[in-house]
Amino acid sequence: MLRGPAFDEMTDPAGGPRPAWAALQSWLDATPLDLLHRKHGEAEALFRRLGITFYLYGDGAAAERMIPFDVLPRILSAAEWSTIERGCIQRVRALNMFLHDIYHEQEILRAGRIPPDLVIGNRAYRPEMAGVDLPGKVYSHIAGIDIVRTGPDDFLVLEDNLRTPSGVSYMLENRETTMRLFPDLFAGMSVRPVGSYPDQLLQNLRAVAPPGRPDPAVVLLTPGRLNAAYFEHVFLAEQMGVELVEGRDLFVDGGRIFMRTTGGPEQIDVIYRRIDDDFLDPLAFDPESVLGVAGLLSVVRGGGVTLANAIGAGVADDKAIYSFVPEIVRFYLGEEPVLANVPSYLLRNPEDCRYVLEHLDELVVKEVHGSGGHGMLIGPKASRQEREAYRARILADPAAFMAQPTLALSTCPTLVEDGIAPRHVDLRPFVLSGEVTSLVPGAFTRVALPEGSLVVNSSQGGGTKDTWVLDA
Amino acid sequence: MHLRIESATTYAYDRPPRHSTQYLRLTPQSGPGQTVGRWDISAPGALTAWNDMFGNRCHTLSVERPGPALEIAVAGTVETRDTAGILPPSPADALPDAVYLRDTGYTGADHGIADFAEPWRDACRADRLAGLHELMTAIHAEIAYVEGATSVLTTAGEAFAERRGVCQDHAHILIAAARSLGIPARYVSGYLWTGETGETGAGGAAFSASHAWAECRIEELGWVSFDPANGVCANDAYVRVAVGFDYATACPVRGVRTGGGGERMTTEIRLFREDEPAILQAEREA
Repeated sequence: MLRGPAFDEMTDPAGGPRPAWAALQSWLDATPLDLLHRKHGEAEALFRRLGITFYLYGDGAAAERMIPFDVLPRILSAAEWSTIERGCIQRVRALNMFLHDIYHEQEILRAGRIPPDLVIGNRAYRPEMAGVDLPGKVYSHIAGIDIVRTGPDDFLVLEDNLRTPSGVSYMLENRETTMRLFPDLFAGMSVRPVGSYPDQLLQNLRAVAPPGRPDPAVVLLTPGRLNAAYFEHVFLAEQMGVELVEGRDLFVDGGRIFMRTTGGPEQIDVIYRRIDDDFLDPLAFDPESVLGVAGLLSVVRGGGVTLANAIGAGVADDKAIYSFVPEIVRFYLGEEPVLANVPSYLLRNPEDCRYVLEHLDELVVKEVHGSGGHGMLIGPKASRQEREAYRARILADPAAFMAQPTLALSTCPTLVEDGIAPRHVDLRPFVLSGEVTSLVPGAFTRVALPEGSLVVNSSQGGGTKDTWVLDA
Repeated sequence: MHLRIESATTYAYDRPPRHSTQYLRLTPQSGPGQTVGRWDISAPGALTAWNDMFGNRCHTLSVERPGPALEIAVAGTVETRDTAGILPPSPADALPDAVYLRDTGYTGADHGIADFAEPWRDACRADRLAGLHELMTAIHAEIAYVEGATSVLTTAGEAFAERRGVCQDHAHILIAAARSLGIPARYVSGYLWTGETGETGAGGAAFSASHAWAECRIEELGWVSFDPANGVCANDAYVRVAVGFDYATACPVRGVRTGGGGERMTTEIRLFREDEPAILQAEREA
């Protein structure tokens, strides 16, 4: 699992294709490379026309660009998917139970299974939610679980995204695109469909509406067009057939939320919000926020509206809590985790800190509260100066960091300039929770396009692939 | 002490807003130190009651096109008792104590406050109540009570650096100092009866009837109040209205408007002692 040859998802050690990939391999054998390059060009034109873009934030103004799309699908067998599905459902059920618990009785803290300060002292723990009962006790209605693969049966969870995970539009659009580019290949392979995602999401959102509303109204709350995932907000609202709103379109009255419309105010029951907690209500959180709805917290606490995901869900996907997730699964479900964690070192522990400082050249070090691949050190790729600069940052505040071994992420065949070559990938399936917890059979596969790169984040040069889950 | 309280908060606008939304923490609740009698809030719009994370009774006011002025008025009576500032643990405390150790924008202890508090660390460890008394007295002596020297936006660190402020600043400084010593602390907003000279009026400080002080968690006692602006623990001259991590989460009125401008907010508060001899009250009103 540590460094070593990466697991090749398509080709077995003998050089032949693994069973799930056999059909793709023979299709590739029969398909000239220039056709693939032409299809790649078509795909790019298609995405550009659809306006699938992604904002990249740097130090200055946001720059809009497209995430590169690789035309070759990634294939998962039915058995592989079954492991991923069971593991994700188990994990998200346990994390939702954990969230309910820490905002209520806090049994897991009383039982001494997690150091209380990791939860209570955590910025993502929102005391504003203490004692609030949510419909179905669901906190993370939409979860994106980042999974890496290091061997035939080794799927490891790298990160849980329980706040406002994005990327599902790529799962859906990439599928549309590959079906259009390669209809024959697709038809010959019995790939399970993902198109029901928006319906399932809408059904779940309606299921968690405040009680007593027979025909609940759902909206998608976006921070606006400058947000990195604005395209996805538009896309999902359209696919679900719900209104896309900004904070200024909503107001609070009589313990309910209303949307301003030309026909007068309309009551809103469920808000699929793609705005961070801090910006939701200027009267309760960041007073400078103009993205949220003044008074929203009071309506949430009074049970007059349901937010998806709930305020305060982020405490469970914090990198410091991450290492306790297997314990969380055991505590609430009494089961062993189906999916293991990537082993982690928490630098708040002096022994871990000492080990990490001695092995900086082998490890990936991340900020506990960071996200998106920013501010991390990839030891083996970093220069001596970069490592030393990072060492100084660690020493200044060890508790702010965690470290993991550099994993040899699995590879998938990817179209590159001069042919087809293996590139490292990860996987983000989306787990939906409402009355039940479920996944559509598909995921957002991210691929690190530069040769040898292990960073799949779209903000750091990653691309995407369609992910085909086979029926049998 | 039987107190009658009247307050009015008025927003005046040069250009009236399209919409105004307010969180009101204006409703005291009965407890060991006080029993609330009749209590009314009036405002030019629907008030929706809710309880915040601290268990404060809050109202949300939402007004469409409020016009050039918006007034929120409160009237009620409270019977207070002297409990030596002690509030025993209650099932209404929904939050874990550790949450009151978190810094906020107002109460982040900078080095100045942390260094100032440090000498009381051992005293607080040996006897938290006695140690905090000393710390409160030291802050009372260190920070001059000067009206207008600070604003509602002033942080504990800023007020400490200037060595002056009003009750809000004194409370923030004590909270920051206590937290830096690992003691959970919170902010209290309420009213103070200042009609009598004597104990609560000592120290030469001037008082407005709207007051703020701090509460610190002491294991065997519960929450204990400390009023660093006056250097005393709360007694029956104090009416507790709301608690929070700091001013922002406990303040009586917090609002956001869309549109409009040129906003001025004024608050007028009057306290009457109803059980004092009528003649004294008449003298004061004359």
